[in-house]
Amino acid sequence: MSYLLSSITLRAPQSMDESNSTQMAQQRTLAGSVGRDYFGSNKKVWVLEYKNTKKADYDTINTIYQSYLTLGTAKTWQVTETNYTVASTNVHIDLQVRKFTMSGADYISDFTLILTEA
Amino acid sequence: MISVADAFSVEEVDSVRKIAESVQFAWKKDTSNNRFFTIGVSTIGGNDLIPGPAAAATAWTKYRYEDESAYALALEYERELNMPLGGLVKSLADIKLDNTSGRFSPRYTGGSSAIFTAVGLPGRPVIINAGFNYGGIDNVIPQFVGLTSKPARVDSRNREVDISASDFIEYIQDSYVDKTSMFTTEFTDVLLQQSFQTLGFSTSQYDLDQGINRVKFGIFETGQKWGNYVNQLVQAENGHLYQDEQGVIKFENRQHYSTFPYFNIQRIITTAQVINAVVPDTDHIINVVEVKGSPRSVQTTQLVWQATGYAGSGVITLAASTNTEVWINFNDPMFAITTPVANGTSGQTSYFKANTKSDDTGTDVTSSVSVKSIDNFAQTTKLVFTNGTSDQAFLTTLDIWGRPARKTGDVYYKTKRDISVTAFGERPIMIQNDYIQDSSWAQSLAELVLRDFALPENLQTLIIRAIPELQMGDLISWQGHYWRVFGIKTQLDPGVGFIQELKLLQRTIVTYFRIGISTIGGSDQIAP
Repeated sequence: MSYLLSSITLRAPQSMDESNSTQMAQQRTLAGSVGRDYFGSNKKVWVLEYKNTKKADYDTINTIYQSYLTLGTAKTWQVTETNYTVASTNVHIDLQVRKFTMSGADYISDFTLILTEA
Repeated sequence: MISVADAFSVEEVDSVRKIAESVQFAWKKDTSNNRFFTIGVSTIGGNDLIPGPAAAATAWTKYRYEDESAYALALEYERELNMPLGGLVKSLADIKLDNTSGRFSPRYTGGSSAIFTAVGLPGRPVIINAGFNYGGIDNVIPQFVGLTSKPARVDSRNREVDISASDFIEYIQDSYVDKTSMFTTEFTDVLLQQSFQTLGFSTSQYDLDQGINRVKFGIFETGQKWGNYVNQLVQAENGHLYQDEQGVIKFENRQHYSTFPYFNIQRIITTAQVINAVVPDTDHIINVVEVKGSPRSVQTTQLVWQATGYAGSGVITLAASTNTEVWINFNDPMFAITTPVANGTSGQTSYFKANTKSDDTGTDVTSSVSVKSIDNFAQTTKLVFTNGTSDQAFLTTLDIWGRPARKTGDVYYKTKRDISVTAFGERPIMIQNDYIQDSSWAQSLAELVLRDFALPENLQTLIIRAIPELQMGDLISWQGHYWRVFGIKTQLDPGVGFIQELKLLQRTIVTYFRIGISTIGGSDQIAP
């Protein structure tokens, strides 16, 4: 039961958003009806919020992120929790602002990991 | 209209449509190991290709294509007939692909693609299909077949690549005639077929209506573009030549859309399908038409040139014991020239006489002079004479007989629509085409142009939720009127959806008189 990114177990985030991403154009016809054209399949986006994270946990994620950037290849994402599962899915990785609280030598940090289904 | 399943037609008017598209490139133009499925030879599940829906086993489908659909960001393609004159038209396509992976980038810009060398080259075959996903399956139909027209434009910042393509009509337009040829009394379709075969097309690659116009004489000259000749031939018919969605080149004569199924309504367009209807401005109005032509026809064999006119000197000098080139220019193209013979009979054939003196008072040396070679060009002939004597000789007589293609009288007709001239001022058009053979057709052509373009209400542009099976010439019903589709511009773009801009010409359904079917005094009209 864990969060696996590129087959490596991550620390569980403090919170997580799961959203749908669709490509859609909407047309209003002369009759007043609204039509929608969907392009491609629905893609999921996961936003994982990490708070007060130790350096080692950040480094684990950052190493995968750097590998993603270097190789230019999507990584696998899988969740095997009891009440929330994600089958192994290729995802793009965004690792954005890392915020330090600066209250000691451990450099505990907050950051957001965004995984977008490829 | 392309034939589609009922479910396809249902999906295209659904308020929620899932768009499916397919973009394939033959980056390496590889045809190895590709062949069409043949019963008794091919195996099910094997690599042999199934031809398109119209069984159009064209050369284009024999390439080994790479499916780049997963990278397609936006597609746009358009096809439009040249109204009202007709002629040769090409289709265009623009393809935007995602290049995040560097698949379409050259290696010198950091690309990682094994196909990068081919992406950078023009003339790569491309196929676009589009349709809808229903029942969990992508159902696409042919939309465009062509060749990339220039190297891909790689946008490194946005990680995108833009590729332009045009259909195979561009190849016809840009190809040059490499050997002059003449023809006499041929129908347009025969001439088109000969042209296409010269250009290397196989019979499965084109579909030609029977020509109505019979050209009495024509010439395809070396160094000129095939596109100009083909365009003139087709315009003289008031026909259209274009490539359809499956890559088949179509020639449609001026009566094409009066035949089945084009006089039947293909689709009723409802306001629930129309995003916008635009009435064009009055720029397209034509209310004065002038038609000109100078047709030629081949004459019987006759005297076409005499040496007395040569270089102003009256005689041709042949140097001793050597060959002398003599160039002759004619006023008209020559369908045939007879080779001059020594001591021929005046009034029957080409002949020459030679003498040791230019005033013909010396010794007759005709028997010592011969024609070594003759090369006939369109309006020029090159003769090489051999003087077998050891002295200078003079051609005191040289008569050339041949079959000239002379102008047989100019075709001219001018007419105007007064009500339109009063309203919009004179909007003239000049149609100059030497393949127009007679004034009665010139008159019909002028009247056809005025009928459609003298008044503004005959044209309209509709922007609709796409109906991808629509084709050139389809008859649709919109707001209680009948309209003929003569232009389709399609966009597949997440920003706007799957939409089409239709160029429409209002039509009244007319059936033409058919012997054995129509009745005298009935409603059927005499075909133009």
